Amino acid sequence: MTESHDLRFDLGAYVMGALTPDEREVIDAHLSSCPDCTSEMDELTRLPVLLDLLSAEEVVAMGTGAGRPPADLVDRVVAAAVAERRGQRRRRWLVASAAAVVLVAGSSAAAVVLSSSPSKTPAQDISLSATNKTTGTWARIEVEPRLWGASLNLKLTGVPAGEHCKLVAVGRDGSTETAGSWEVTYHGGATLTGATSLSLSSTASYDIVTFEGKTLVSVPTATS
Amino acid sequence: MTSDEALVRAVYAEHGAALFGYVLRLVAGDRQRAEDIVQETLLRAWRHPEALNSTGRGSLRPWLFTVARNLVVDAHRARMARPHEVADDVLALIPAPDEIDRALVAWQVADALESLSVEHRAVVLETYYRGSTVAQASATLGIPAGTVKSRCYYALRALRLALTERGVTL
Repeated sequence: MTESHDLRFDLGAYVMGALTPDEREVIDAHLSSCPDCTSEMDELTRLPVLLDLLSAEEVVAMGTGAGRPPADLVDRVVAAAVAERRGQRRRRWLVASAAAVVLVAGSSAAAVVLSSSPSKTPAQDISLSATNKTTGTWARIEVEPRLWGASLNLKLTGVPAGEHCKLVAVGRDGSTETAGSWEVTYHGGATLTGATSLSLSSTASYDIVTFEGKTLVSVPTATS
Repeated sequence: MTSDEALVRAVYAEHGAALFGYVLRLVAGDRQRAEDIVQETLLRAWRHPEALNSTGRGSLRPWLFTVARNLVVDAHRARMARPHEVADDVLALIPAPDEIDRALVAWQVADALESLSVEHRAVVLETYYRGSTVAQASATLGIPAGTVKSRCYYALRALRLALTERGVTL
């Protein structure tokens, strides 16, 4: 018991690669006879792959604020929003046309085109749904066309519990774009929001795909 | 405070740092570009209050991340469209889809690691990132070898918990 307890602490150093070959051998021998430590090892052993996503320099810089936004960033966003709102109000008093106002945000950034009527969307919102009889998965997607693509509201049922899926927009040209690159553990169903740069008219379908690549349901944009 | 200002500040307070950390990875550490992208993303959220209201609080973040990611990609495409700016290094900077997912997970890992105590992070840095043995880490950090081991263990447990809380699938 005591020995197992001490060895359990060693699992951390083992996973970090900080043990000597002799110490590693002791752990290897112990693991073959201790289910508790084996399952513990199982939980820790995938962490190094994730740690590899960071560099030593990044870890050294932690706590120094290097990866944090500047303190005045929020003030700049507020100022931009307030200025835009004033512009909208002013335009209401003008009989002028709806000429677009082009603002270039920053010198190095994207030439970001802000429409003078940002609430106007290129097309009507539509609701699509489909069921895959084989997998039993049902999906409804409300597509809200945007100037930059489409905002998607997804409702999903009949997904195996614990499945990890993503929402993929499939273009008419065969291109694909993950409209939600986050990971969600579904418990049979889910409601979530995604966004894609693919416009509705250039989208053939919205697919719910597992991380293993299996398509649970494909929601076509037009009935064929 | 106007309602516009309150809305922007509320969204920023909850998601600003996360969004910035994510975008910074997408633009290879270029702070100026990251600031511009974050600003435009938050403005779009403000312009589309339905994105904030119609969905739960938890789902705004993926919306913000996706919009930001699209802005990064659009910016690259815009540069590509101007031939005089196209150089090998610009081409190399276009994030591939895999790298975009990677940037998201990398941000989550960084955020999780940063949430650990200074002591726990120090043993992770020494042993994992600098490749020290327990004995070397013990000398560098000035703590007993047994403490290095137990801190390695508890640091990994804490990291795993922090990652789970952030929705990272292990």
